[in-house]
Amino acid sequence: MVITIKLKKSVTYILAVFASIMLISGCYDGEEPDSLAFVVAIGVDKAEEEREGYKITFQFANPTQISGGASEEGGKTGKESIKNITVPAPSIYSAINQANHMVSKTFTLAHTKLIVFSDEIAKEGIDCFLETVSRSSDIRPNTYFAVSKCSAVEFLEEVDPDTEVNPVRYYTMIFENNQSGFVPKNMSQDFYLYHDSEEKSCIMPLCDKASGENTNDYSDTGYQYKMGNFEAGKAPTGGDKGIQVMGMAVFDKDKKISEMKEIETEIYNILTGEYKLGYVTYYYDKSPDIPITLIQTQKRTPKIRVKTDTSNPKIEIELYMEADVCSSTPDFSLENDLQNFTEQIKKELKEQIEQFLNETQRLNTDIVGFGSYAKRNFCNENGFEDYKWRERYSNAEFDVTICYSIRRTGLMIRSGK
Amino acid sequence: MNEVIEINEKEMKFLITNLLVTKVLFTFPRGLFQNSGNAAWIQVIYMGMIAWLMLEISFWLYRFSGKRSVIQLAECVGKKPLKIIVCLIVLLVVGVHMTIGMRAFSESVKIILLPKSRIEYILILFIITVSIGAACGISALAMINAMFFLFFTAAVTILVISLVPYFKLNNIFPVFGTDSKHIFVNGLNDLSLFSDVLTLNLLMPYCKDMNVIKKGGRNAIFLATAISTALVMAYGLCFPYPSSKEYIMAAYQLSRMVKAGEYFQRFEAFFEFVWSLTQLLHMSIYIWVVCDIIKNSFALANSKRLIPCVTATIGWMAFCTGSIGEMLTMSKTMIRCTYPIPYLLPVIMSLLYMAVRRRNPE
Repeated sequence: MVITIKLKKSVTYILAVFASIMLISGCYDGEEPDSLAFVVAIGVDKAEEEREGYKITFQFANPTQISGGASEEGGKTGKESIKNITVPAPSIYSAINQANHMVSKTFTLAHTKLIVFSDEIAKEGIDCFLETVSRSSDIRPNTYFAVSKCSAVEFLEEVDPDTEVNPVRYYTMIFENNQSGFVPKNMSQDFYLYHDSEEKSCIMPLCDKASGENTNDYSDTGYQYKMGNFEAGKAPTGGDKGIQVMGMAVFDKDKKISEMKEIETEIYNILTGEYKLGYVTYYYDKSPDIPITLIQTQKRTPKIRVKTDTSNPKIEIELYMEADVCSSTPDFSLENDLQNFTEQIKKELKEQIEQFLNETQRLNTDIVGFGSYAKRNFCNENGFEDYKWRERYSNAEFDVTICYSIRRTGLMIRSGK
Repeated sequence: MNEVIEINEKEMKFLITNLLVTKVLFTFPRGLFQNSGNAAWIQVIYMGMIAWLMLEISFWLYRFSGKRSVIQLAECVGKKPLKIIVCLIVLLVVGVHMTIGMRAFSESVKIILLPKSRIEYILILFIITVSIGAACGISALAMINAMFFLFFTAAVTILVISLVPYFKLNNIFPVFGTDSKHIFVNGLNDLSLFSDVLTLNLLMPYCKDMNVIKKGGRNAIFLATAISTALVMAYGLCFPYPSSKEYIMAAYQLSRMVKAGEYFQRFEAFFEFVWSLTQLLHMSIYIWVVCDIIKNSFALANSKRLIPCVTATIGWMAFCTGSIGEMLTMSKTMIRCTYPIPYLLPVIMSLLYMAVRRRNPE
């Protein structure tokens, strides 16, 4: 009797284990990586006919080239590592549905790093795409959005990741580079979270294919004035190939209303505390023809206070910047005149920041997000809504204080002649 | 065949904490943010305090009742009819929570982990797993849960610490979110967050003495409030209002944000593992409790054979509603109708017991 019960128990356990192995092994709806087409970037253009919706371009990784296939040389870089396909469709997922019938693999957005909108689409509004990106569990929250000045398909076709085997890494290095102060840091999730909010307006990086023309106007004064203030596609790079990402598109809700160039973008990054490191060139009044390059970093995030007890909000900004001398002039000792040089930098930086803030007021878009600080003065959301921050922002008064210190002078200290 | 069950204080603490906290991992925070905005964390603390207060009141009233559950007290007060009425009320309350939990978990798995699998397949697997868990008995569940919960707490701590770089202090302002009235008056409707504390009462007969229950209950409320507040606050700090009220699964949304360097970007995979184990233990505990209530109320010899029926019934009820949206709306209404019961039932029953005892001291 006891043996029968034990046998029964053993059989039950064996069956349970067997059933678990068969049922919970996870292969039921598994997909092999080589049956998938990993989309790394998506381009959205307006279709020729309105009823077609959009022209959606998928740039997907070419796994046979990335892995190196059967060759011993390893993966290939450049255009061979990616492929583009364009389909007309009313939305991203309906475009995927069509693309799945054109390529032998199944498209997946799990590794998508960039979604590029053409200028035309950005001006009309991208609300429906925001919805897709936010609702989908496929698309990562750290996917980048960008606005292309040329058409999105042209931009993606011009992409040539010749320094990377992995095309996803190519976009990551461009958009998440800590030394790229001319590119605003704004993930798709941030755009979705703030695009409809009262407290902040949104921006997107600007990109374009290199045109080879130089339309930059060099000014005579101001922050980095002799370095130029380029916009994407118009920076002279000695050729007309490749892509450029610099500057930003300014949005009101989900519609693009303006553009800002690289210097304004750097100022934006400084004000939002996203600025990490940059090589900045100044011209000292005592040697106006000789560039002095500093490695500029942000010591700590800016301190921002917003007073809302008056009819016009008062915004106090304190910035903490630090720099090391990277290159100077051999003609005189900058080290002996650091105090005056620092004062000049502070003045130039302050002027540039005020100019930037005035521009945002002219556009009536609080892209830095001062509204988030203004919220602190209210007890509840209704109080903040009644204050009508967006309307009052254009009349806000700014008080900018800059703490700037030049800490190190590289490997030498020139004692002067 | 009846096993001798004794739950110690540590096991009780983690059992109740699991029951209280699991909801925060799923759809519950959405309701909090809809009500209070980004002041949801204040609402969680407030609700934790009310739950603790109600617990203390029931402990004080229970000083004459001994370690009898509400069902046993009902039997003392009103014999079998009252016992069955109370049993049905408890089953209604617990059933509502289980139904929501089962649907929310299956749907979440379908959305996040197995989008191409049929929901029936997920549900059947879930039912089989929780049935096996419940069949192991409360002693085994309590022990495994006590071991696992340390792992869970560590996972939540790691999640919250990893999110610190994404915190924006401004997001939790204005301090009172949508309004203080919403937090402190309308917020009472969300007291169901801690209503699973009723299980503490139902498990009373399996504890050594009242000290185990008191200490276990207090610690569980404290721990659950701390974990829930940390998760809700982290979510509020990362997601600004009004966008914060839109996401169905706050904790999953948070786990998607975590990344360390370029390569470690899928923290949610680890989170999904912890989350699945928590939910499986949660449901197994509840299935066992429901079967035990039925066994005791109807004087059955064995509760194990009830497990498949109870699980299948709950599974069937979970899928009565069509879409997940309908389910959320319906569950909100049902919870609002039933949430006072877990808090009031022990108080009412112990008062009735005291009255009966005064009239008839024997």
